[in-house]
Amino acid sequence: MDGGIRVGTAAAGGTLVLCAAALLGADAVEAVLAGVRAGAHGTRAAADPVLAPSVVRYAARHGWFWPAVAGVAELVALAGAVGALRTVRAAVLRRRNALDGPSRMLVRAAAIDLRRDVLAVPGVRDLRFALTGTRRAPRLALTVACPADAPLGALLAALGDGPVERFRRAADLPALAAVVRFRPGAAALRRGFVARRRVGEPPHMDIQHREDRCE
Amino acid sequence: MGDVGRGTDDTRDERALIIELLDDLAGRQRARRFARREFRARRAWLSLALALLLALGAGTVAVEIVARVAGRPAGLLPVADAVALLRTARWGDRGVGAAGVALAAAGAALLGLSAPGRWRLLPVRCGDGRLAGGVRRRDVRRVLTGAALGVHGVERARVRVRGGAARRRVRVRARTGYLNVANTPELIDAAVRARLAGLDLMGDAAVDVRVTCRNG
Repeated sequence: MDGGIRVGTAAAGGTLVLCAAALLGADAVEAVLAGVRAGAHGTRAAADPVLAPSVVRYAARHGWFWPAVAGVAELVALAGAVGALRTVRAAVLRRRNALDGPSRMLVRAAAIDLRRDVLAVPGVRDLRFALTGTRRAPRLALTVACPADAPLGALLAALGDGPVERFRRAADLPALAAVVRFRPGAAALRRGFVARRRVGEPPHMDIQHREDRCE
Repeated sequence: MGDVGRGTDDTRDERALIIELLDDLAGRQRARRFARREFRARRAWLSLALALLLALGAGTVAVEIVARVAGRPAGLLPVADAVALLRTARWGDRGVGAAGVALAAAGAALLGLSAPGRWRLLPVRCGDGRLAGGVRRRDVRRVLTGAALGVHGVERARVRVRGGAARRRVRVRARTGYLNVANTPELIDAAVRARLAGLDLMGDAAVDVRVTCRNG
């Protein structure tokens, strides 16, 4: 599944957030401690400048100081850039797929069967689906309209064991992860912008768009 | 010998049962982790904004330092003004304390935001680590409201669903047209629980039903 990408992105995002929080927290703690110290030591410490002359002298005396600060800043900037790129990539791959040509051919053929199989499952009224992710981490997102009293657990198991597993094999995507969004009580699903562009099956697949445009 | 053989068979069966149970448990845990990854708020915009902020801010600082070390200030940052401000500001100044408190608040807010977000969809019970099913909170609310309204005598019902996969709470507020509530709360409770069981959501839910009657 898309786990590699998403876990990596989540870890990178979390690390960035924690780094930012730690930086801010460290500054805040320093400021607050200095304030407390100033209060404890009376007016002398309170009257000390925030940028002490000793700090300026230290930086001037040691030639490595500013290059080291620049290096750390570069590393932080690099981490930020990598984090931003990974976040964008993950967001794009949640909506689009990056499959190669042969995989697309297989998926296109399997998609028609998938739609037919899912609609044949008792309790399924309508279906919308999209294949996203990469070949190494593909993800099938299904939206299923079903009756309000449908047993969702059993329906999910039926979809997972039947149509999704068959699609996994037919499309030759053993790592495929499937996410099913149930719409209990919905008679039919509203089609989105992409699906409105053409009438055909399956309505929400990238693969199909190209086919429809060819026609 | 026969007893010994039966004993071995029993042990084998028990072992197979234990392995099956552990497999089932592991599958459920994988499914739960997958559902959490899929259905919890990602806060991608926050991550992106922070990452860009860090990249731009730290990059600017690095460029400015390198330029100054090379003897040609880039002028990207008001360094002279900042140094002058920090030299004149005293630790006892109210502004410095306020800045510290603001930074602490920002840090705490970021730490809070780094925690997993709210469940966008309520996960359906599943034992497959490559499959996740979810249902929108408002759909659950609508289905449970329908179940409550299905109880005889209930005129109005409002359902709130809180929590995600754990510590889920369903609160039902209903009104009956009868003069007293009698056993309506129990009936609503049973109907809502039956419908919840049908939805087969991950984790258990506490149901709280309160009914008012025509007499208030």
